[in-house]
Amino acid sequence: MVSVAYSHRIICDYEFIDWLTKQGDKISLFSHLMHIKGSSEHWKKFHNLILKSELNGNALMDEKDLGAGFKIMPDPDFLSAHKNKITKNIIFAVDLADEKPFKCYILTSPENEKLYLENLHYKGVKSVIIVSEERARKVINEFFSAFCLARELSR
Amino acid sequence: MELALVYMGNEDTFITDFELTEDLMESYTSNDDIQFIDLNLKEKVEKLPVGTLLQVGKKIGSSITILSIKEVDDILISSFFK
Repeated sequence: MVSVAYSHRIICDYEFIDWLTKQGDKISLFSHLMHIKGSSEHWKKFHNLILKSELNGNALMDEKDLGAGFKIMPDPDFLSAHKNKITKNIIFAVDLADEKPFKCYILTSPENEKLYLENLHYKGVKSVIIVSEERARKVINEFFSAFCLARELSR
Repeated sequence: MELALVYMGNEDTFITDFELTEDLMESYTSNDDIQFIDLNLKEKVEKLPVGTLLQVGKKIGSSITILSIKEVDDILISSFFK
């Protein structure tokens, strides 16, 4: 079995999916995300997540297709008190980072990246890193390279 | 490792989550409830390289029957994007 202990879990928001769908390399990026999701040592099929509330009323991709790259998670009860989606994702990521691998990336758009960084809930948080555009692409490609290396070693 | 059952219930046939080849075979060899309806299909799966992503069609009844598999390729992924 190809299994990789990725350094961070991955959460994304609607704006990241919107960005992804406009990229020339969207097919390879999504394929990489599918491999990462399926090969995680700690969180197989649950490594890449998106909150269900990110998709409400949005239809950039069919949910069953998006689910191949990101597990669509019903919003946990502890998020019900929060209406702001940025806040929800930060708190969700912090909660995820309480377990292995203890770190999390939030993939988003450049515009939203600023909102995450300015959000009061993000102050002092070290376990969650906000990335967009080229940094997001780099994270995905580096994780996929780790998968490829593990696959080669298993052959 | 068991197959991820995305949709449980009495529905007939559906496409589920994507599975790595080893998952499918590992599940098959360790779980009597998983069956291939077609042994040629089983043979095809066994020959796929490690790390191949598959789209799996299966029927849930008293056991899990694998009806179809399809390697995930760029054409399939491109169909995800409207």
